[in-house]
Amino acid sequence: MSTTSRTREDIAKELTGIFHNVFDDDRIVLSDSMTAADIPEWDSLNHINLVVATEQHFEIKFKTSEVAKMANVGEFIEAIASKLQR
Amino acid sequence: MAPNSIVYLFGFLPVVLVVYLTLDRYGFDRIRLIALLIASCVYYSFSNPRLLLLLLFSIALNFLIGRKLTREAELSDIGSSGWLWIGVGGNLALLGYFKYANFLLTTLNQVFGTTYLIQAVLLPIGISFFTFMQLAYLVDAYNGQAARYSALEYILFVSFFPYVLSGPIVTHREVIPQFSKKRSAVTLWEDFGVGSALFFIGLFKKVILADGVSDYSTPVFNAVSHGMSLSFFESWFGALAYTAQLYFDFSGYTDMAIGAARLFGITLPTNFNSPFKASSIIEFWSRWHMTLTRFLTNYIYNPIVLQVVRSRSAARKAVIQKGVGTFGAFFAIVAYPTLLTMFISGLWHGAGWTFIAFGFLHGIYLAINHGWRMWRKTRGDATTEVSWVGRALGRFLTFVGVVVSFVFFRADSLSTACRLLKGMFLGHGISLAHSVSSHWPRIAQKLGDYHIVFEGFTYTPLVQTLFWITACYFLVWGCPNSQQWLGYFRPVLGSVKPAFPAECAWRPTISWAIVLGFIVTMALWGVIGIARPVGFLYFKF
Repeated sequence: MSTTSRTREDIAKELTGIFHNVFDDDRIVLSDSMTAADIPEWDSLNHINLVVATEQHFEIKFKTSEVAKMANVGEFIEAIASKLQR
Repeated sequence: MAPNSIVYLFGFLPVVLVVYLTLDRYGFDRIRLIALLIASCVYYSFSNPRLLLLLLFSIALNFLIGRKLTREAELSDIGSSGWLWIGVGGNLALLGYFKYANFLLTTLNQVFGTTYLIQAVLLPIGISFFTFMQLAYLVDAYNGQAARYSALEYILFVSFFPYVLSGPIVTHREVIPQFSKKRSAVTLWEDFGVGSALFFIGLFKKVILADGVSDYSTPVFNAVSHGMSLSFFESWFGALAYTAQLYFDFSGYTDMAIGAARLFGITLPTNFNSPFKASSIIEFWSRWHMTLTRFLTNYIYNPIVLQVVRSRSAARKAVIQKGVGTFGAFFAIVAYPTLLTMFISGLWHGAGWTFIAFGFLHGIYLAINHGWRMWRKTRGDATTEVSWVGRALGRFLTFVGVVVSFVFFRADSLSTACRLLKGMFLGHGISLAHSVSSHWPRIAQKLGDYHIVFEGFTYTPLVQTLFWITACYFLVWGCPNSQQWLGYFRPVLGSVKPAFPAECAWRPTISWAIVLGFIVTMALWGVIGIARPVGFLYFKF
């Protein structure tokens, strides 16, 4: 949990770990366009688990509308990146 | 003005389109949007001009507050919560007065035996839709996630005629940037092709399928409403016919809305994705009225669950991890938010106990579905790999659950719904056609021992009913949906998997032109030849 600036690749890598943990599946390979439709267990509840796990890992807190925008993996990474920049 | 009325099809839509394209052609970028705005106002005020004032008042209120919140958020990351609550309160007050005041007062009168009356409040058409769209905008503005829009852009975003009456519930983010988009000649023709194809598919769904099959649902619900107790098959025919009617009516409206918007170069989000192909109720809601689900998830369910999970984590209470959790965690994180959200969803559809029952029932379904997933996970079953038998069973159960919930959705009272459901679940016995007993008396005698009678199907002529129900569900289960069919031409926002095999997807070929020509002819014949009253089921909401 370093506070130094991370690249987009760093964030994607760390996010992959979060996905593996939340879905209990190490085979998941993330891509920007990946949505809930691509992972059967990515339902409304696991979406929140992803958000909370991301918040805890990066020590950030998302607002309602930011969570609303995080519909695919690319948007997840964008949201994290814009939070870390502040 | 209903989009399946003659005045819309042969007057309003072609005229507006020609004016718009002409202005577009000669580069009057701002004037073409003003023309679209005027057209939208004419469209909305067509049935009752006074309601336009309400729409414009609601838009003005939200625009001014939203702009203030956006400015504040630009300066300090977030808007002032005072203005947010004034905005949310204002929207809910308008919605509450116009939609729920009568219901509340009637209920209070029943409880306290009083006889207070207020003047009958006319339900402004589309109020549920434009209220939700703008609530989402206000929250986004408050959170610093809304751009500064011009008044013209914002008013057009809310009042745009293809969706103002019944959705899809679009977001400012996905629609407003498209208004200023310039189209090349190629895009223009593609938009015209895809837009009109979708539009006529929707019109066909409405005037041929939904209106056609309604002949077999309406008499059943009317009979039960008048106190009749119908037998097993009649009850199921009525409920199945209504389920098909609602689907084709609403998804038909949606296709027409998406198609009409596309003629003007605006691509809208998906609203239906073959909902009855869902193999769980969780999946059903990700395929049925998807833009409503998106709103409810983003602005009601997620904030509640986030709040609960964050506070439970902070207090080191149990949460649900890797799909496994305690009963307390299940109740706090899954059951309570789900029930509350679906209760609101039910109430959103209409002011009445039947809609509350509808929402509550789906809340229970969803909670059970989540509970089932957790239980399987706890047992160590792999939830991702389900056999085809499991999927088929899931699809069957989901469908039956949905049909049962739609009985509440359609019935005029809870007692009507319960009486029909009693018939569906064998409470009023089984009746078969008269001819069975005259042709096969011995079989009839045997069946008679099991309390099966041969009194026929009073409310539903058998052959026609079976024909319509079979035809509708063949289209529902055996065919690609409209956006899959047009999948190679980006019919909606977001990714679409085109129909498979590729021969089943639309291409600009002679044979597909004949198919589409047939659909257009049938749809227009439905409008002019059959000429039923034009309302859509979702205009009530």
